[in-house]
Order: sequence, then C-alpha cells, then structure tokens
Amino acid sequence: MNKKLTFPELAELLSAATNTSKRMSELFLRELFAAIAQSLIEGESVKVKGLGVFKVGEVSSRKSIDVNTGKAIEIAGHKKITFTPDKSMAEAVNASFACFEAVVLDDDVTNEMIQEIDDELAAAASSAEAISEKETEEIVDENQELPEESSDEETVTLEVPIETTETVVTPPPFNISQVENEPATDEEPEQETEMPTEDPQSEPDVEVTELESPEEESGQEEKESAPEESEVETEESEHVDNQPTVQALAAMAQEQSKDGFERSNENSEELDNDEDNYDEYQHRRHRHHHHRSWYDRNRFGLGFMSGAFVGIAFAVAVLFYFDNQGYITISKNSFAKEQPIEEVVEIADTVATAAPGDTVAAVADSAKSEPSKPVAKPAVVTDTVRPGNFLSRMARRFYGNSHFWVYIYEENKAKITNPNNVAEGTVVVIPPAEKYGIDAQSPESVEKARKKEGEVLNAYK
Amino acid sequence: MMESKELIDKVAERVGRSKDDVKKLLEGLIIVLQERAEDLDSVAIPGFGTFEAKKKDERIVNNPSNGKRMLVPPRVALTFKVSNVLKSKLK
Repeated sequence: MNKKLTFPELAELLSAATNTSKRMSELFLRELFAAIAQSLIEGESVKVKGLGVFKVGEVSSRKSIDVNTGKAIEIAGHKKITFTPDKSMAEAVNASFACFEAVVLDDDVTNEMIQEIDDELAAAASSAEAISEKETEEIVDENQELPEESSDEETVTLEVPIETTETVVTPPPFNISQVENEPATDEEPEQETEMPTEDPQSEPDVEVTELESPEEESGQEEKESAPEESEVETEESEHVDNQPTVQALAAMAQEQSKDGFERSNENSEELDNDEDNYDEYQHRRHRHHHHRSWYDRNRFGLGFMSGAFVGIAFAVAVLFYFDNQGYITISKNSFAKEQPIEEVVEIADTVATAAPGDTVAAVADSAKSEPSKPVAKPAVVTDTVRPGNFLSRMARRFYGNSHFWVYIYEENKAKITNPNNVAEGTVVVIPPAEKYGIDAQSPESVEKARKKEGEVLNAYK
Repeated sequence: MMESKELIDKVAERVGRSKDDVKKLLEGLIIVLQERAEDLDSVAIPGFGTFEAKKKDERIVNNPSNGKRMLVPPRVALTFKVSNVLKSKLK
C-alpha cells in the first residue's frame, strides 16, 4: 500500500511474473521506455495496448505576469505529455469504486444542505455506537436468565434454533477481521438484539420445515438405553455442530448480524452454500455498496468503528449463550436417561464448572477428532494456472495479498516442481484461509508468508 | 500515433529478442503495473516518469449544456507524471 517501487523492484516483479531472468526484464524495461520516450520526443504519440496512450500536445506561448516583479512576460510554447489509461486498465484500477454512479442533483440542493447531511450522519454514527453498547449488555443479561426459565421440554427444543442458524448459515471461511470491515448501519444493533431472543419463539415452524435430525436424535436417546459412552458422543457431536471453533462462532455472530442487515434491505434470500466463498464475500460487499448511496460510504470510518465494536461484543454474548446451552443439553441428558448417571454428571460438572474458554477449547478438540460438517463442508476451491493468472495473482484474488501464494504452493507441492515456472493449465487447489492462518489484515501473517516465500524461492535459486 | 505492434517491433529490435518474447514481457509488465496500481503503489521509471494510482474525491460538476448539476462519485485513477529529464528533453 502506497509503496514507492523503484526500477529494480519493478524488474524483479516482472521477472517473477513472466519467468524471465532479471537481467532480461531489466533490459526490456529500459529499452521499452527508451523507445516510448524517443517517439514522444520526436513528437509522435504512443499507444500501448492494455496500458494507455501517451500523447504529445503542443502548449502555445502565452502572456503572463511575473509574480515577483509584476512585469509582463511571455511563457514560451512547449510540448506536453499527457497519459490516458486504457479503458481496461482504468476499470481494473477503479474496481473498488466501480459500483458508484454519478447522480443528478436537484436544483434546490445547496452546498449548505449537503454539509448538514454530513453532520447528521456523523452524529448518527456516534450515537449508534453508544446504543449498541447498552444493548449488547442487555443481551448478556437475557442469556444468563435463559436456563432458569426453560423447562425440561424446552431444553430439548432449545437446541433447535442454534441448529437452524447453523444450517442456514455456513460459517464463512474468510477471516473475521475482514468481516468486521463491513460497514455498520444504524439498523444493525437492533437486528442483532432480536436475533438470539427471537429464535426460541420462532422454533415451532422451523422444526417442521428443516430440522428433523436433532429431533430424531433426541428421540433415539430416549429409546436407547445403550452404553452411556455413545450417548455422550452424540451429545458431544452436537456440540461440535453448535460450536465448531471459537473463530467459527465469532464468524457466525457476524454472519447473523449480516443476515439481519440483509433482511432489513430485502426479503432474505437463502444463502447459496456451494458458492465460491470468495465470490460470495465479494458479492455481499457489492450488495452492501449498492444498498447504500455512495454518498453514505464516506461515513465508513465512523460506521466501521461502531460495527467492529458491536461485532466483538455480540460474539462474546453468543459465546455466553452457547455455554449455557451446553450446560442445558447435558443436564437434559441426565433427565432423559436416569441410567448410569455418574458419568453424565461428571461431564456436566466439567462443563458447568470450567470457564467458557475451557469448554470451547474442549469442544474444539473434539471437533478435530470428529470432522465437523459445517466447517469441512465448503467445496474445494480450485483454479487454473494461465498466463496472467499466476500463483501470486490467485493469492491476491483469494486472500487479498499476493505474498500468500506460498500457501497455494505448499498445498499443491505435488503438482508444482518449480514455483517460479508453473506449467500452464495446472489446476491448483486453493486451501481455505484458516488452514495456514492466512489473514491479509494482520501484518504478522503477511510477514510470515514473506519469510516462507523467501525460503521457498531460495530453494530454487 | 505509434501503435502497440509497432512499439513491440521496435523494442524487439533493440533488445534482440523475438516479437513474441517482447509481447509476453509487455503483457507481464501491464499485469504487474495493474496489480501495483490496485494496491495504490506508485512505480517510478527513471528518465521516463512515475505511474501512480490516485484517489480522486467526489465533486459536483455543472453540465454546461443543460445547466444540471451532477455529483460525480469518487474514483481511483491511474496517473502518470512525466519525469523532469524527459520534460527537458521535450523542449
């Protein structure tokens, strides 16, 4: 970002991108720009396809006044070079702002009115932050009360809402910090508060439509007086479904809030789980852009602050919520069976007494041994190596930073003999970002990738 | 106006490589420049100039023909600043 690249650096990048020696690419660059410059000096414009047009224009002489002496002087006519980027280049560079369109203003809109709107938005953003703080505290309170209110029957059905959020919403593999960049809106806090509390009430129809499996499972549990261990296992696997990892949880919280946001904008669509995750992310981003006028977008700075805060606070609230759920489901287990209670009680004890972090860690452990469905679900993402689509470009596209290409290489070592020269048409598997802890937002992660990059490249020098 | 093909011919002659090689290099260069521009990096070429992607703010413009005022959205544009060396040679 905002780095200044020197000539040798450019040559290095070029040699890496085209698999030519550094000497050759340096020579090429020098000669290319010398040729363009020569043509320009001769007065001939140069068009470079894909880059743009360098034009030479004449500036005629004009009269002016010397600022220091106040005497009239004449500025001699000279030539001027202008550069107009190619359409394809201009569009690629402007991709992040492509969703905006020019708007015709009403005649009666004055500059003062625009300034007023600006001020209002700023005020709204700061007050939204204050409100969200209060409301998230309320969520925690409500959640803590839940266990007392719920009867035995309810504990069975209470699992359902969590399952629904799981099945409808797949935890996105892209990293959380990116998600937190999502712009916050004023509606968001309200939506969030409604999400968890509404779930138990909306459970009956959800049960009928989608969720027979948990029902079946609990039915089995009651019938079976089978060995307790298997019982516990199913119970645990349910937890695995509910709380795959802390990360996924937080991601889910984000997902929920996003869901809420989308619903407020349009009637919620079913999410396409098979969709390429990156595309999905981009797609969502785009939708966000479309729904807010580009004018609003300037408020991102403030919106993001409150959005990030709400996201984190909500994730913590959901953690509490699930923790309580875990306690409930296991105590229900002991009610249902009344068989060898000792073991169950033991587990209930450990879960109940252990700190939230511990239980989640334990669950995460079991998640490793038993492949949890929602996390493993996303289809394997692949891409094909073509000219102009190298590993680094894929990394940029999928992870947001080209340095992460090493991980794609790492994942496809078997197919790639030399990372500097990957055969065209090679189909490579793009590993999910979590697998290698890829996070374009974190400088440490990028630094790690850079180090690894150096090691890998040194091996092929 | 010198077109791309002509430029490639010239450069191929200067470098002593085939046109295909030069074409590939040029395409690679454009990709590299584009990537850098997307990251808002600037690329300086000594004796020629600097390519830089710059964010342009939103602005209100008047359409002179019908007097309508338009709010033009912000955008990122690739700019090129001619180096002083080339400027002085041009005169």
